[in-house]
Amino acid sequence: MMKFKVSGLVADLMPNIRLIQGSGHFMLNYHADNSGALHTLRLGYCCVTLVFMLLQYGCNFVNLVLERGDVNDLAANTITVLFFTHCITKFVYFAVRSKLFYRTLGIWNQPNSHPLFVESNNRYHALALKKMRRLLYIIIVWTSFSAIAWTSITFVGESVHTTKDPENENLTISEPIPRLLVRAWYPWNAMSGMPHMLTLIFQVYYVFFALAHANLLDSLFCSWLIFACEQLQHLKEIMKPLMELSATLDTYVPKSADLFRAPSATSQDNLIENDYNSKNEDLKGVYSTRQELGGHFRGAALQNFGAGGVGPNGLTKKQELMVRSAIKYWVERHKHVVRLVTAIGDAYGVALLLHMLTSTIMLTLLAYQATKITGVDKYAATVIGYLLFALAQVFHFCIFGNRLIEESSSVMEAAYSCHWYDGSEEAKTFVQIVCQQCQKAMSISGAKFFTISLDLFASVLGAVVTYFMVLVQLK
Amino acid sequence: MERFFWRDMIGMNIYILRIVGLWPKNYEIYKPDWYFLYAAISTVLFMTPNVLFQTLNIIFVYSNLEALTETMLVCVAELLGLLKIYTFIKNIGMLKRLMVILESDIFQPKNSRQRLLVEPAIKLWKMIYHTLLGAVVPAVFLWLIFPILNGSAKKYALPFPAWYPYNFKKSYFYELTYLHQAIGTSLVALGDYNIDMLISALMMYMGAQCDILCDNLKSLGAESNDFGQKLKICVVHHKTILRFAENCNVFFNFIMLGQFFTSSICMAMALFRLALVTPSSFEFYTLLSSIMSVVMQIFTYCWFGDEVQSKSDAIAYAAFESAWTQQCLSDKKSMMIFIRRTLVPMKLSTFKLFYLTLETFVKILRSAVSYYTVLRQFGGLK
Repeated sequence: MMKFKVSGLVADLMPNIRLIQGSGHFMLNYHADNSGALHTLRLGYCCVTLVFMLLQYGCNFVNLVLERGDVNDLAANTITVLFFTHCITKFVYFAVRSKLFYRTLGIWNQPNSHPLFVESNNRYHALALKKMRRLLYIIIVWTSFSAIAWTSITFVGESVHTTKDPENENLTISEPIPRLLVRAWYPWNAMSGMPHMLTLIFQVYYVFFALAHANLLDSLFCSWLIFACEQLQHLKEIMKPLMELSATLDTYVPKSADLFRAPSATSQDNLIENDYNSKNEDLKGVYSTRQELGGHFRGAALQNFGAGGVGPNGLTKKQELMVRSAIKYWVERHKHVVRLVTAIGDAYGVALLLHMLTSTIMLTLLAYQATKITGVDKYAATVIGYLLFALAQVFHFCIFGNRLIEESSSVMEAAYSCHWYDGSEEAKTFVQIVCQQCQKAMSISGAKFFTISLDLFASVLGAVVTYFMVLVQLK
Repeated sequence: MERFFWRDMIGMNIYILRIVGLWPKNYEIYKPDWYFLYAAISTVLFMTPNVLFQTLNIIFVYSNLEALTETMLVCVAELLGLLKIYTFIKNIGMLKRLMVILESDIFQPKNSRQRLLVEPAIKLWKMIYHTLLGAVVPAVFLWLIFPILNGSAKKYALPFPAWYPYNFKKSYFYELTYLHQAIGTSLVALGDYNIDMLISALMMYMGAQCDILCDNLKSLGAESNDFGQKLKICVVHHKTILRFAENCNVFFNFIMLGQFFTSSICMAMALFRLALVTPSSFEFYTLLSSIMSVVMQIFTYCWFGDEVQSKSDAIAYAAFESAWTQQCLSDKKSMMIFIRRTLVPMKLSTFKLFYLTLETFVKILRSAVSYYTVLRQFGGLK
């Protein structure tokens, strides 16, 4: 049991952690007071939640077995059971592998720092915090909205199902069933009155908490990814001042005209300088090659070290030390980010694999159900609701996984685009190693089976559409 | 040596764009002057109403499936053309700045050898341009005079079925409406086609710049001993090419997305119809030719995009062919960093969803063929 000190990722993600603890996940750390009694109380709360979830899931499953005669019912019940499998899986997964989660949450407790780059670090940290909060609000709103929509649609339309007519084997009649959120078998009669009310309330609790279990854990994963991406942005940003710091104090301006061949007198470079240096908002980057080749920026930091007899191609001792420490900071910070991403992958990879497996089967069945839509009614609304929710869950982690891949592969471009050719030998070696190291993008994989990226989402979407089209044709 | 003007290579393209109303003079953007008025008349008075009335007609032929698919095919293609034109107008500032950058010193070929080097690419583009122009213009022309040819002009039939808020079947109204449709449709078709070729030209320029860079790299260190400085200029050249490519990509991102999206819808609908009509009937050939035109549009993009990628791949090899072995350690290190960067190919894409390569083109063809085969099977079953 850790001593309670709020720092690093835990401090940033505190709202998320509190919500996770509140929903009944087995997260027993991060409390100020961890004495025996309170700990047992919290553990008891988690166990009770687990028991309720499993009981209700069991009731769903029994209902599935009982209603397996009718194909439509079988399909619908299987979809419901698979949907809640996500939630149970995530719950049990977290309970079993909470150590890995704690390790990931504690990885950023002691980040390094450098006086030159503190401001940039804080800025990106604040940006990450803002994004994580925003994500959490969106997830909360989405979960609540889904739970409320589910509850309200229960009270729309008839609450019946079709069974074989006891008199005539070839006909079917509709028999009323309890008006509940999820079809389940209960050992008591939940048709009306007090049992019905209690069962309804229990089911509302169940649906809301099950959705919360799955979504909050996913949002924890995505918040980690947001943090890693902002750290990479920070590293990309400080590359340029780092190069400037190590730039030689040589002010030789090579004349490109002489070096290759003189272009004609009607050089149109002046068009570039005059016309749009002030309004190049659309275009990225500085286009003035004169600025690139000749002179260079002198960062404020350089002015502190510039004085005192510096030769045309050398750096002062102080400057050299500063450069070395800056490079060390950059490299250590990058290694830290790599450690964080590896820990995230270890912690959540298997959960993603299980999620995708369940989703694939569920989406196939949903495609089949979608072909039976005949009009705008309760059935259509429920099928589309399931579909949108499942796709949104997959999209949620795919988009952040994709961002991580893009950010980490653009580090090399950032290294290349700064003025490395003006830098000292040490800086050039550093750029070389960075380019070499960062060519392979950092990505999260589902236990090495697949990579989490927008390609995955596109293939899932494409598969659903294909199944739907084929099944519609077969109808 | 007089200056090499990249713009002159695509003179005809720019001229036709100017006629359609999409190219303000030289390097300027739209200003409140006569050309702006001309462009406004062309888009708002001719192109937009034409497409709009044809699209509205869909509502009226909703029940008849054959007429519906026919109308939808043409309308979707025309809507795409209109979308391209409007996006083009919106981004004209960006485009003009790109043209200015293209004429900068660092992009100029340094000697006659380099001018000869870029000739083949320019020639290829010109050949494709003229061939497709030779296909598009007669096709549009034939379509427009079709009612006159088959006599339905006497029954007041228009080349494209459309709904008008007035009765056009009266004497003078009919001629005016016919003329309006003719001008509107040809403007949209010409504008659409020329925008495609302009984007291909931009990609061709990127490829030509890569060729020039390769040539510069190969001759590094050969005769003089300022390897370091020249390498630095090559690096700056490379960076400028990369930024140019990035900005071009931003310019035509939206256009490409619209193109791929509508092309797939057009092809899907045409293939759907194709699977249901009997082969070697007149309709079969019309549908086939419309599919071919869609395929050609996508092909030009994918081909030139692929060219850019393969030419950028050659840069690393060209750098290796320079006289790097005799240089100092510092220059060798710079060379290493440069080569490391050039190993990453320059890929153009639509919002990173589809890359403009021949692979994508093959994938599209493959899925179209399998879609058609499956539909024919089910058409047979029915």
